Amino acid sequence: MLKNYLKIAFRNIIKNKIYSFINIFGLAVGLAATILILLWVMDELSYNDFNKNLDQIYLVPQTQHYKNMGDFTVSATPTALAPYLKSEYPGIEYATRYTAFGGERTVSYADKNFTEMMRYADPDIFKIFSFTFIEGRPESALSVPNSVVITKEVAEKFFGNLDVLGKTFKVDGNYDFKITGVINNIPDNSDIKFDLLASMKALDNFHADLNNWGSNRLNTYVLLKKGVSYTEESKKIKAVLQQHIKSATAGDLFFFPFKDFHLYSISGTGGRIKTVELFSIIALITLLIACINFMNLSTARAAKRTTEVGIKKVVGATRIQIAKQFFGEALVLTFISLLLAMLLVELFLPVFNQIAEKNLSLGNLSTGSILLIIGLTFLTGVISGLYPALYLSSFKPLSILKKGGKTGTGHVSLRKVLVVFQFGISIFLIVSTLIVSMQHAYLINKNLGFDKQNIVYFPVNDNVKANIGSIKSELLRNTNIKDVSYASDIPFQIYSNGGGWTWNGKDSKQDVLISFFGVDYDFTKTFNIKMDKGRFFSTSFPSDTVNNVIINETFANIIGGKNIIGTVLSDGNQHYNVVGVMKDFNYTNLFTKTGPLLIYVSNSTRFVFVKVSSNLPKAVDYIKKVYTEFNPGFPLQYHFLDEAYEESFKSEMRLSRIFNDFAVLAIIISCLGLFGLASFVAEQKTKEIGIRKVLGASSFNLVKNLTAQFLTWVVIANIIAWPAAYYYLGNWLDDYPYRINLSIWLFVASGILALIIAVLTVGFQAIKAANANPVKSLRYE
Amino acid sequence: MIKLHNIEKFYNNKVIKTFVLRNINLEIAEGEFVSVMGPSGAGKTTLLNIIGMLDSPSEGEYYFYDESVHKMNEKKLSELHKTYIGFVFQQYHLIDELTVYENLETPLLYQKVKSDERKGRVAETLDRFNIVAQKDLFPSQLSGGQQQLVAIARAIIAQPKLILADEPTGNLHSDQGKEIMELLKKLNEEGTTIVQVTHSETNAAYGNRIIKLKDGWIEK
Repeated sequence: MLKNYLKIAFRNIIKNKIYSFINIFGLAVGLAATILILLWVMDELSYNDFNKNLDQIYLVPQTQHYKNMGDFTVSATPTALAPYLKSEYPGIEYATRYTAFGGERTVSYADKNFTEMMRYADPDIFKIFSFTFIEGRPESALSVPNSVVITKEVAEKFFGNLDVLGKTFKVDGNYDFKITGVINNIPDNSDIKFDLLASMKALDNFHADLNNWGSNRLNTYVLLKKGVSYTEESKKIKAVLQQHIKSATAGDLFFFPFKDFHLYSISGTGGRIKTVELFSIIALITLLIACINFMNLSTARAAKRTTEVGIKKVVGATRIQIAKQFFGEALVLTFISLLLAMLLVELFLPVFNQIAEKNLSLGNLSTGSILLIIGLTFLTGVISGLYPALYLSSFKPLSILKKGGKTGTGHVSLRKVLVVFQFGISIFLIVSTLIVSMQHAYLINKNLGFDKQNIVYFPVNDNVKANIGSIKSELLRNTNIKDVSYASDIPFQIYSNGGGWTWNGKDSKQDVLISFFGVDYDFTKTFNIKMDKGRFFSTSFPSDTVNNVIINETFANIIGGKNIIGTVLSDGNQHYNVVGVMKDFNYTNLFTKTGPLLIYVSNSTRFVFVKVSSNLPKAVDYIKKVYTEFNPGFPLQYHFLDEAYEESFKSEMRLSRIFNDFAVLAIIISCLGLFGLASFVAEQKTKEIGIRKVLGASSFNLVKNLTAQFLTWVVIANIIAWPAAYYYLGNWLDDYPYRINLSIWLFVASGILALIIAVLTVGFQAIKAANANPVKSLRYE
Repeated sequence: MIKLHNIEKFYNNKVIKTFVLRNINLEIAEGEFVSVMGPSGAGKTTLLNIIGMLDSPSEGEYYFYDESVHKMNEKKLSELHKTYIGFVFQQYHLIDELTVYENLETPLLYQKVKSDERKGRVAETLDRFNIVAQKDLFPSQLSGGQQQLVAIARAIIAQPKLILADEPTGNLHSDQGKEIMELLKKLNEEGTTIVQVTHSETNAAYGNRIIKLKDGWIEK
């Protein structure tokens, strides 16, 4: 019996090549897309799960309350917090501080120099996170001040082997670090990542106060004891910061589960989970569209199978047996599709990995996910086989076998609903991709308020810092270089901020969070930023380096009043005079609105910016030359400011690229289904078309006739899809402070695009059918 | 074997009742070869379908081996017609996707006949109908006469007591038609009851009783 079913199934596949291809290929592409996204989603969900004690690991962030921006949750906490928490709260088993403190460092050994990601932590870090040691002992590895633990990759890069304990790295050309441990490479799906992990005490080198409550400079991680409730424990530590510092900025501490760290934002709203959900929905939609194709084509083709069903019933098949047969066929098709899908996944995984910047592979699939995929395929088979199975098996043999077989046209309505639904989704996706790409283009091209073209910048190390004046004048001697400026931050990545500022007339109960930016005298010139009121810093005012500051427009508006110049600001220790108001420029990213900014003359320079006026390559060569002069043995790590800006959108762009690709895929699958359905309708109407032609209908008439039906469906689909897209994308855009407006033309354009796609897919079939020789089609029967 | 008592068949078209069969009283004994004749639209096929349990009468009683068919549920009906009745159609109605061999095998599969016995019976039937050479061909590769031969072979392979044939030679030319009729006659002589619908007096002559239908009534 089974053999009989399979035989019929396979012969049907071969006999109806186009339909089989559309069915199998469409479903395979749908499944492949689903599997790819599933791989991505599962990778996202698996973040940090290599940590054996994941359920007990917590980050300690704080929520600060500000007048200008409401609640502000940050992961940064004071250096004194971790040791204090560990000693005072018995619920905490281990605690560590963790910080980048400046980020990338030039690490050298003998004649080898590399830029490495360096982090600092307390010894407890190895009790909290599950990094595995190859060399050295986790208990003592970070207990000596200038000790460092490195990854296997770093060890191999520098030494070619792992026998490296006791060897000494030079960091930034100045500081010695002794290697006390080698750990296995950190898994890709870890949010805690480093090349070198140095002992916390090493920060003494940089004069960092490790027992300070005043400023929030690093992260605190703890391991709670088994069975301790973190919500209860959170209540106990809530006021710890307020107890130690009398500042309105001291926030409420709490424990944030590290297992949620990757997907959920610590502030409680948003986070990657939104993207994960969005992608899961796209995967589901793609699969759904493929299933709808399958159902539509199977039922449409039912007409051709009716005789078979009738005969089988006459010779004794029960309805259940017939239904089983069609289920069987659907399952055979879906599993063929699955095999093809696996092949497609294998084929496209490298591309997908490149776009998604992941390292996914089918081999990494766990047994659970393999079962999930097989289950999903089975479900797809059952769902897509359900309707044909129930519908075909319900035929009464008599009505079928009466004179040549009658076709099941009574079910067009359901098919119509499915096609409309499918096209509705496609239109929704077209609108979405259009708007998502336009929004991103808008963000990238938006005027930030400063000039970012033709600016080369490089990070400052101790040698550069010591010779900054000479380097600047040396650089300016080149005719290709127009301006040189140095500053504490990259102008669109200013993240240092603080509260507790006061001025005359300020509401004393409410605090304002203010960002800080240190610059030199040539900042406005180099970046072409205008002043709104007052003046910029100048060497002719010696007090500019002491207590004169400049604020941005937003800050000026918060202070209010007409006479901003001359306002005295206080941070509690010192007074500062406002000498100028600068035009607002975007100093974080375009995902947040510009806030108040305080600009001062800096001595803590971290970046040098070089404005090039002509011949960029030559200028870069010159910069390299000057840099090496003052920094023998160190290669110049330079970037272009405009590229760096685009780079800062990379993760957003990456997600929107994936979204776009899969949306396009869904639209293609949808068209494939429409194509199949159109060719079927054309075929079904061969006789009708023949008769009409004999009666004198023109080809144009016939094409119009055939196409009109489909076009009506597309129009209905538009009417359904527009409000849904308007609502959903309006919501999506609301998350952006700087956004494009939803114009009706976008919707009209998407609708027209869908119509064109439909006309092209259907029209081809219609023209073919209308131009066929009527004598041929009428000779049938 | 078959007893029809006051069988009526009509369709309700909104307000008008269209009668297809009127007051049919008919008995067919085992071993008979009955030909149903009459002009187009007389209700011949409907009568055949009712006898074959593919259709149910609007009114009246139908006894098959003294069991009341008109009271049976779908499952029992399907069981009954699966074991006792074989069909032959004017359009042959073979399954296009299956070979001759597989077409013959299909009824046996539904009757859950074991593999060995199935093979034996299919081989025997192929042999008997002299179509062994065609066993791996698909219906589209056969002539009309050959297709009808296969259809009859398929009808008798389950060893039914009753064969219902709806104009079995309607699509065939006379030589092939004759061959099919000879075959039916032979089956009848071997004990199978046959009811056929036909337009042709010649074909009707193969049977031993003729029932004439006109406008749904049996002509006396």
